[in-house]
Amino acid sequence: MTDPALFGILILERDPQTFANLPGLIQVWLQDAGGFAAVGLVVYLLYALRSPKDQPASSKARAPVTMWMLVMGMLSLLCYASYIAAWSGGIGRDTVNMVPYVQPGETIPYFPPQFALQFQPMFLMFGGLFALLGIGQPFVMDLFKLRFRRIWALTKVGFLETWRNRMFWVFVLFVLPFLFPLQWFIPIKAEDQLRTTVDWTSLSTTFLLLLPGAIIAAFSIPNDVKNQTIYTIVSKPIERFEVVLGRFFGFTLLMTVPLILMTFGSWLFISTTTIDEKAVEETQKARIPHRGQLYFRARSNEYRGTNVGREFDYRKYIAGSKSTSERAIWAFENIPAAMAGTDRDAVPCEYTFDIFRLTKGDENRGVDINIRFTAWQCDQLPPSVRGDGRWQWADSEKEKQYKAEREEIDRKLAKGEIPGVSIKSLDYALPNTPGWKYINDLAEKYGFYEVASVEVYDYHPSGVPVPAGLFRKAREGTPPTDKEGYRQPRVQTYVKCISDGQMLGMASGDLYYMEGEKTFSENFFKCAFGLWCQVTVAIGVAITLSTYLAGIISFLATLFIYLSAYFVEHLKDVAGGTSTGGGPFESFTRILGTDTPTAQLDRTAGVKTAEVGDIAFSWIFRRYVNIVPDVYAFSWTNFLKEGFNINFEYLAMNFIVLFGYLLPWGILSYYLIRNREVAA
Amino acid sequence: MSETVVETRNLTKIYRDFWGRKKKVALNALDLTIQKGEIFGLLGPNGSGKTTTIKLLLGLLFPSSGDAFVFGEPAAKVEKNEKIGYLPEESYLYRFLNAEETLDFYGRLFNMPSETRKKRAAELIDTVGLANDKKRILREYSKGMRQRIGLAQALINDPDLIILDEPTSGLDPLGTRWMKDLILDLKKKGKTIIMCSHRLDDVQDVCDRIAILYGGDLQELGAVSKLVEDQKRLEIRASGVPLTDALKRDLAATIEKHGGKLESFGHPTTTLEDLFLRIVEESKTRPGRRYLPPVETTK
Repeated sequence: MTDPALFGILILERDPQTFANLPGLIQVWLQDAGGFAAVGLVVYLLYALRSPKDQPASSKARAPVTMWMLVMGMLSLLCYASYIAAWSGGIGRDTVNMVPYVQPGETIPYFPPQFALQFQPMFLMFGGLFALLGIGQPFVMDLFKLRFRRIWALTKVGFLETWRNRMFWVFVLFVLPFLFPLQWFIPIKAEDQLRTTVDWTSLSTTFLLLLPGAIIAAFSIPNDVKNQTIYTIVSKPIERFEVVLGRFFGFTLLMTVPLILMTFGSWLFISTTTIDEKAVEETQKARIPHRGQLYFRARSNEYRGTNVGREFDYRKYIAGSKSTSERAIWAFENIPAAMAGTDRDAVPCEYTFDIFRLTKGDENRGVDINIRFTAWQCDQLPPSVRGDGRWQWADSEKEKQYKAEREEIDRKLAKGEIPGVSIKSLDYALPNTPGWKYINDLAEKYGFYEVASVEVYDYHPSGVPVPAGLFRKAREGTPPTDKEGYRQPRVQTYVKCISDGQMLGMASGDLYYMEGEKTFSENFFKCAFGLWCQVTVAIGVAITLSTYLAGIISFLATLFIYLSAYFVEHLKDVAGGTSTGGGPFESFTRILGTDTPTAQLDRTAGVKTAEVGDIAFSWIFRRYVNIVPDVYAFSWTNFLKEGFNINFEYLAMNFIVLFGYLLPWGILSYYLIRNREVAA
Repeated sequence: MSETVVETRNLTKIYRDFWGRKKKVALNALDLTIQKGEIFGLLGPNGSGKTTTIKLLLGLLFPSSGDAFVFGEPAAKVEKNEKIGYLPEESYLYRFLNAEETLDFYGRLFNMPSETRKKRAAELIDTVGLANDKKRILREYSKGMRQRIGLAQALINDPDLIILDEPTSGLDPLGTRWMKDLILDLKKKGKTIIMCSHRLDDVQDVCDRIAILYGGDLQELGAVSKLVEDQKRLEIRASGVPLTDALKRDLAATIEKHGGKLESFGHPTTTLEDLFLRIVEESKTRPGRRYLPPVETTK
């Protein structure tokens, strides 16, 4: 009962952020942004307080020091001192967000930050919070002085400047991908036609918006200073931060116009072009997946999946054998009502697995798997005897009843005793046919359904229908909690590989239920929002840097920070000291000694010195990683091209993350432009 | 009693390099007081500190020491700018805007409502004589026209203090006359005006008081009429009598005896230009401060 292989492959190395992640994200934001704020506050207070008591009134007006700032600064320092004390005493460590141990060369799995109530993370959080409250006071007070009319005037001028200087002509380049489609130059599989088009248009849109956006933003204020047009602006009763805001909104608006036009153009192109049927079925849709959490279990409780040694592979593997007890299990804590509606016959379960062959196997054949679907009322237990691969029902009586009932239906079907049903066994029942009703009834009664011997191909999407009755059953009542307080998931999906000598690899995003479907067009425009966020990030960073640096330096620095985002995983490895081959100093030592990255180095004085250097460097890297934008969080091209719906929740989270990222830059720009002598 | 509009106390600006080392003293301990309704001129050769003074008053630069107050507020305060109009030397405006858009833009910066902005812009465009060119972008304007629109933007908020940096720069003689008349007209309306200029005749024509700066130091300060007086000589103005040698010899004692009428008897004046050049020359040979403020007496 395998559906045609027409489904999407969405590689999810990390789940998109949802509202559930907000508390953890806020805590981490307070720790990170607050850390920078604390440094800023200390520098600011030292600068302001070291000035003579009889300093000019102008200086006092420029760098005010209030009791609030002093108190917040003291509280912040107190929190950081407490953190250092707790850290050195090993008290209250953050156990919630600990990075799990991985084998060398394995990708560190991404877990969204969780709110941690231990002393150390809380001290850091409050230290950051107080620092932000202190450094943010003048900023917040001056926010009340901002006037929309002035900001709008500056916004309009920024927009008009670019428009009338005819910089929009650069966007004409956008038509090139349509005039010269990629398939003219490289062979593309029919089913990949839409994927390639989406990739190509997305890439050109990103490039054409990011680069001009960063250039315009980076050069705007420095040009105003250079041309001295800023003299006539800041000599008016405006808050200098309004100049920053005006430019920011102006250029964001400016980039929004071509983004809309390009998105609409791309959509029109895709809508009017003849796309291969396979590609349409595979990707021109917006599936709403319901995802679960993957874990691995076998007879041994210690089993956590097998690492087959593929570097940078984030999948874990289960061994294939008829008698294996190894299972990949997806746990679904909640079941949306849409999946369990009485009007619904079946819910598609879709999956894409990776096959790692230990033997050649049969020619032109994939590997066979069994998939078992259970509601929480039908708990499963791993086998207890070595060599027995069967997982049993916790309630063996119920299992017997189920088997008996199903056999009885099959017997009747075989004899043709059930009118209106032509199939000879429930194994052949398909959704929306009379026979499926019996599958549904059984699933709803027992909370169990299983498909056997499903053939899967390497990295090829497939799917099976699951009776909706199982989900209706799963939504009944409240699942119990175990000894450790974890609530049992409402639905679990067990995957077993039954082909000998083959290993099946999977990650959390590789299996999901289809909750519903939306239109590709809607998804297309939602995808553009992520791109808008990326452009906005680049504009915000460029403008902030340009309040202090020259145009070209601001542009290059923006480019550097932005491009760093694409190497952030490697940076995190270096910052965390988990990079294969060590940090920059150790790597350099290896280059000099022509040692491979994994070779064991002799513990010479030079190597020890390099390690100390790497520790210092990793500290700097950690600070740097904190200012690199999370560009991946804004990228929805994979969702679009694989035909997965981009939730509004994801987009709302994008906006929150964007705001959270730009706020510290905003505060920085406020202080920089306020204390800048524009005529110097 | 007149109201103080601008006051500087020991105002000093020192430019420093990246390492904080002193590069140049642009302004050294300037003490100035400008009263309401005055036209005050700042004179000095290039690099003397007059534009620095203006930038300090506007908050475009921050003082190294000392302080500047405008309408009693520290120069760093934004609020004081509500009552200030500023015409920079080169009329640094956005050249992609037309005259109407320029004035609308600056009107918005003063948070003026739409109706007021439109009315004020139309009035000012008429005043500066650009009614026929109001739809042209400034890039197409001549220097004189840009100077006019620059002045209009400086007046958009009907300011009480108008700071003009080289207001007649780029204007033809007629334009210069128009500008000077406008400045005098503004004075009649009770406005205070500070102007920097290299055109000494312009300054002499319109300014009540002037300060002459050289090398960042204040060299002279006072009323134009007083400063241009030559205290070592006398000027006698007479009419109805031919100027003969005998008359010159016996002038003081015998004018009346010769049947003429003595109309004036006072100090002859030199030109401001002469005065300016003399001060600059003297300052070169004798560096340091020349002007000493009068000793203050208790009121």
